[in-house]
Amino acid sequence: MIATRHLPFAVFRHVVLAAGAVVMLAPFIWLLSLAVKPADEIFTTDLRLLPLKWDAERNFTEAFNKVPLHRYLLNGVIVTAAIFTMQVLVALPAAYALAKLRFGLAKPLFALVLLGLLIPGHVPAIPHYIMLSHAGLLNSYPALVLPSIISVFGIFWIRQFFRTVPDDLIHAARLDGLSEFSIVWRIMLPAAMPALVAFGILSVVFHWNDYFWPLLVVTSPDMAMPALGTVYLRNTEAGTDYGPLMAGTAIITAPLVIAFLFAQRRFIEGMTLTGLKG
Amino acid sequence: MIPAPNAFQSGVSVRSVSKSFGQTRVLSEVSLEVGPREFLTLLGPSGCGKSTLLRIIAGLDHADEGSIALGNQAVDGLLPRERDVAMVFQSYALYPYMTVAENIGLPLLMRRTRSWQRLPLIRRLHPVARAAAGTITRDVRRAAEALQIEAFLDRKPGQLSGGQRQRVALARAMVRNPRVFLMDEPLSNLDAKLRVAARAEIAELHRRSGVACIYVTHDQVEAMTMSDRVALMMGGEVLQVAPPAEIYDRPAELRVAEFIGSPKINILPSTVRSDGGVDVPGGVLAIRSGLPANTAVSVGVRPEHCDVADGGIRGTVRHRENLGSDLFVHVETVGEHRIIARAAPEIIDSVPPGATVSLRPRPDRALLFDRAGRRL
Ligand SMILES: Nc1ncnc2c1ncn2[C@@H]1O[C@H](COP(=O)(O)OP(=O)(O)O)[C@@H](O)[C@H]1O
Ligand SMILES: [Mg+2]
Repeated sequence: MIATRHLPFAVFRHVVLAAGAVVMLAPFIWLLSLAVKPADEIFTTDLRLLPLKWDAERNFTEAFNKVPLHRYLLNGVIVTAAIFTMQVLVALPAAYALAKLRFGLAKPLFALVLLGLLIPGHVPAIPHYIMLSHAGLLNSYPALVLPSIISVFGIFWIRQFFRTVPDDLIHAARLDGLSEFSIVWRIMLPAAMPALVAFGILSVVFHWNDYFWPLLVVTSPDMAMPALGTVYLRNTEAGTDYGPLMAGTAIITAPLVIAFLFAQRRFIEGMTLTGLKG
Repeated sequence: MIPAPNAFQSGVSVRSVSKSFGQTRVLSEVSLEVGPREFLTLLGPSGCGKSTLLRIIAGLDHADEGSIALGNQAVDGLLPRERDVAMVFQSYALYPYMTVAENIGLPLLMRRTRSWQRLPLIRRLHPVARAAAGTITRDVRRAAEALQIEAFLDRKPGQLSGGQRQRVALARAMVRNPRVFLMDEPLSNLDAKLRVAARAEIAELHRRSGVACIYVTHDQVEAMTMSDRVALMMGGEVLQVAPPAEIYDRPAELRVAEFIGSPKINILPSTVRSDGGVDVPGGVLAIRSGLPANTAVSVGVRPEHCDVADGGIRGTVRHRENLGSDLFVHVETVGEHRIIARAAPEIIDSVPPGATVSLRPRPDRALLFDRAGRRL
């Protein structure tokens, strides 16, 4: 009964959402479509989703042949994993201290974190570049990882989550003999799991897709991150071959899309911050 | 709870502890001595500073002034884990992501192993770590059996009922033979029936443990039924420390008398007569106060010491409460003073609302308080 009464609204809602989805998905669908078309079909004037002649195999092999795609993917995995691990190692204790410990500098330090949130990531790029250059670390994994290990957003995000953990839980842990560090890893980390997963997805997506920073510090193709790698696909010799470029882009996007589909529920859980229950 | 004959046993000394949060003074000059095997209840209305005092004893919070000793050792500089106290929280504070067994075993794990022995692989392989794990499993099981929760050892706290969680919290506190138990309203989240059973059980577990226990509650029935002594707190001060019977029969001051007892004690503003008796609203009480004539006093009479009988204070019945075992008659006397008297339920028909009755407080049980509220 309720369903029928609200039917017009339900239809309207779905139409709007579907239209939004189409707008968002169109470039990806087009990308997939181009990735399976032969070169001469790409620039025809008629709009066709499926190719007349499937050329997926050539496009994908070409993509792997022209540039070391697997190397970019490997770099992407290593660098994003290293960044996220280090971010957690820094953010968790910091967030715990800011959320639960009472000390004189707690307020000013938290104000600094908030201030950090306001500074665009590109602002410290040049100082970072100069420091890495002096350290002789350009064009290496550390160059890709080090500038990102302190995430003020991560500290802020997890700190907000830690505020919802009852003080009594921490008191119980202190009486049970846990040190402050054990409390962070044994008590707070499991409690913060949903927030960490959400933060992890944001962090990995951002650094996997980051084009700006790798472009600055990477000089040899075998250090390239996925997003930068696709550019090498484009720049190769005589003109751009769009089929392989789109195939390569599809491969580089795929891991994230698949990971998101698997972690979708946890992601939304973390984003809505349902907090601790029970 | 597993009585170790050589376990170090001690009492607790709280010496003039004061504490403020910002401008609010939460504890002022609180002093308490708890015997080595004593069950002492901190009783008081909520917000009077009971939990704060408990946290200070545990080392979770710091006093502004004063000191705490466990046994003969001053513990002011010690971290909570070095004080060897166990606490049961009102919210139970169980670790939600650990099983019941892990919850109970954690205090043992942290005490019996070093941090490197808790690393994932070493925990399984190193002989010392494995031996410790064996003793922990054994002790966790023993504690769980004592509290009848051995069937739930593999569950997470979220899968337990309130009563079961409360038992897990007790087991976690008792498993390691602490110097002293601190319990912060552990029964307040249970339903009435479970609470009665748990009262007896906690008192029993305490007797077997032979360790000092400070038990916080705002429920006077818990305080009266479980304690060796009751410390009555109000507004951040300890008003009286005494065994339950004494605090009930000989309250040190008016606030104590009013807090303890249900229904509340009747307080009658009165004046001492020249013949030694006391003028109360609606009548005269034959009390030998020994005070000069015309002294203003408050007379306190508990409902059970106030009989419905002829020849006493006259008043009008306003309300009746029949509990089956007792009948409480609310009577209004001159000056709109209300007096509650306890009577046998059989007389209920003779005291209908609106009827005029006569109340006779027993002079020997009446309590006299001066204007400052001190008992005379
Ligand atoms: N961390 C704190 N910061 C500020 N005020 C507090 C804090 N903890 C307790 N208080 C205040 O101290 C008073 C006593 O609290 P508490 O010890 O919890 O009382 P009780 O346990 O007797 O109910 C209350 O008025 C409470 O608001
Ligand atoms: Mg309290």
